[in-house]
Amino acid sequence: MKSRIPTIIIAFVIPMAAIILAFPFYNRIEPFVFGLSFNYFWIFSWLFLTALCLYIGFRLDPYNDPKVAESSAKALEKAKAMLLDEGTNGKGGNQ
Amino acid sequence: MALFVFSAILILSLVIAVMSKKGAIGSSMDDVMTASGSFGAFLIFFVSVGEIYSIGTMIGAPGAIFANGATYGTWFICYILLAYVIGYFLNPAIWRMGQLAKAVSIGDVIGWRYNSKGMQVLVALVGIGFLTPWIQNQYAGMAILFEYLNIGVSFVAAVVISSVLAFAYIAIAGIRAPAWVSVLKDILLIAAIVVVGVAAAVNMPGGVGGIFKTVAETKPEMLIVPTEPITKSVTFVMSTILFQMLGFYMLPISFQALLTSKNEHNLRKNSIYMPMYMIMFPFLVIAAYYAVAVIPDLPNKDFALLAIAVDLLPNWVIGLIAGGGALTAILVMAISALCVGGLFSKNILGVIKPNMPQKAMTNWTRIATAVFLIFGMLTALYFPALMANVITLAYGGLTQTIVAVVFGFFWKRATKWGIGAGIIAGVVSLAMIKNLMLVPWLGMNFGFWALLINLVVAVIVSLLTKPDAVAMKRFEAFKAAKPNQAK
Repeated sequence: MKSRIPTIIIAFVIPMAAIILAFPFYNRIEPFVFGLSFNYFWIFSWLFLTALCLYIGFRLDPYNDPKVAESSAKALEKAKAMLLDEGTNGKGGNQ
Repeated sequence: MALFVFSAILILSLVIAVMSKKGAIGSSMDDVMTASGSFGAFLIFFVSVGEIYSIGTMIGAPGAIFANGATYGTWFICYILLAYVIGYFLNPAIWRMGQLAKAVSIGDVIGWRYNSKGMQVLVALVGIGFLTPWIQNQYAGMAILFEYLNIGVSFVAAVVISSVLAFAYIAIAGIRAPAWVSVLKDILLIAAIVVVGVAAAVNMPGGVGGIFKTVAETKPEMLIVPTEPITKSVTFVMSTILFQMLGFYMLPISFQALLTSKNEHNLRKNSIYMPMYMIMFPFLVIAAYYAVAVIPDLPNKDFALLAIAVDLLPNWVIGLIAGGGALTAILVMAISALCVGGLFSKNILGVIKPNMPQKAMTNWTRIATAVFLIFGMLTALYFPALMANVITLAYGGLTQTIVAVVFGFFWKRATKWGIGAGIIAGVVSLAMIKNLMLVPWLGMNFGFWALLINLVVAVIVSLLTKPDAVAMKRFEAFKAAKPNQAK
């Protein structure tokens, strides 16, 4: 399977850095952009940019590869089977 | 006219609820609570946004920006936005563990992973402790809505109608009804906020720029997060965002919404769309600052958005806003009360009486749902201010369960004693810090310190206690279910 690191960088590290780490940088009124104070301009832009980052991350994410999705559905069934010989069906079960 | 639009919206919602019914009354617990994990991407989206954006988004958020400025605006928008980023990675794992645990609630998942009934009860109690004031808060929002808009429905009548509708949704079709009604609710909520935001911008000389320029000249402190005093400072806001984004998916209602998904792929896809829904926030912020610039002398900060609507918009739009607001409150009440019902009947009653038949449990869920709605209704009518501040504390307490969930995924050796002691230490220290009114140490949010105490206690106690063989085996099963085994 391909690495998940590009997804983590694009869909996690970049939005976190832009919103948390860059906070002291964008916490200012001027310059006004599209009539908004700079901080609100920045935050509103990141509503769209975060969606974009998640989209790119999603496209790069090996977990979304149909083959991986299929094999992970099988892995889930196998894991469920592993639990069957527990005797009980699990405390969270709905017997 | 307003009354007509308002009534039409509520009737339409009931029609949708009836149409969503598919194998409902008397059906299994899975079906009532999570629609047996049958939702595709479309319904997952609406059930998620349905319960997140409550009447607080329409009333409380603009009110708080109106009163506190950018400190509140920044915090509120950023923590929700980043929660979606976390959710992209966290939600599929929660869902996977939910599948293995056959879970319908957060209590099920944590109780299963640590092989502990005690944990199940503890988590359920913390969850109910949050949801009770949350339901009451919806009524409080409605009180403001009906007091101010005055569309010809008294607050008492509105409260009774809402409670009946909220219960009717659940009784008709469990989680399915609120999921479908949420489609209507979210369109109306966005429409109401966008209309008010646009009306504010259009009626201000200079449009959006005019609003922000005016505020920058007259009240610049409203547009920026100050460095003093410390409780509003930059580090405080940043640590609050960090702390709260971790708690977001620990809300029992968010957690339950995840479990309705058919597969984990849909949950990842959903995370992409969630920030797009936040498109309403710019309009909300514009409306709030319009109120700061033009109508700064409101008797109650929570009237901010509604006052603009009444000043600038025609009567039938007021009906739309009243209907959208009421439906938002009803929907959140319905999902929350259902969630409380499930936590109570499955994770508390189910532990006390382990052999309870499926049908009895579903009935208990309905009874508990009704009891909590009535309780919320009575407190809203007779003690409206009672629980206003409980929510922050409860949210802080609820966030403490993130340690249980993350250790559940990554640390085989974590024991129920460690996790339980951690949650209790976190909740107790949070309550102590809050009540002693200490100054936040290093300018960091209280909850952040409580979480750190929780983490340390969980690690130490886990290492000191004997690991449970069943719990470790379940960890192995969870690991085996991870997607990276693909060739």
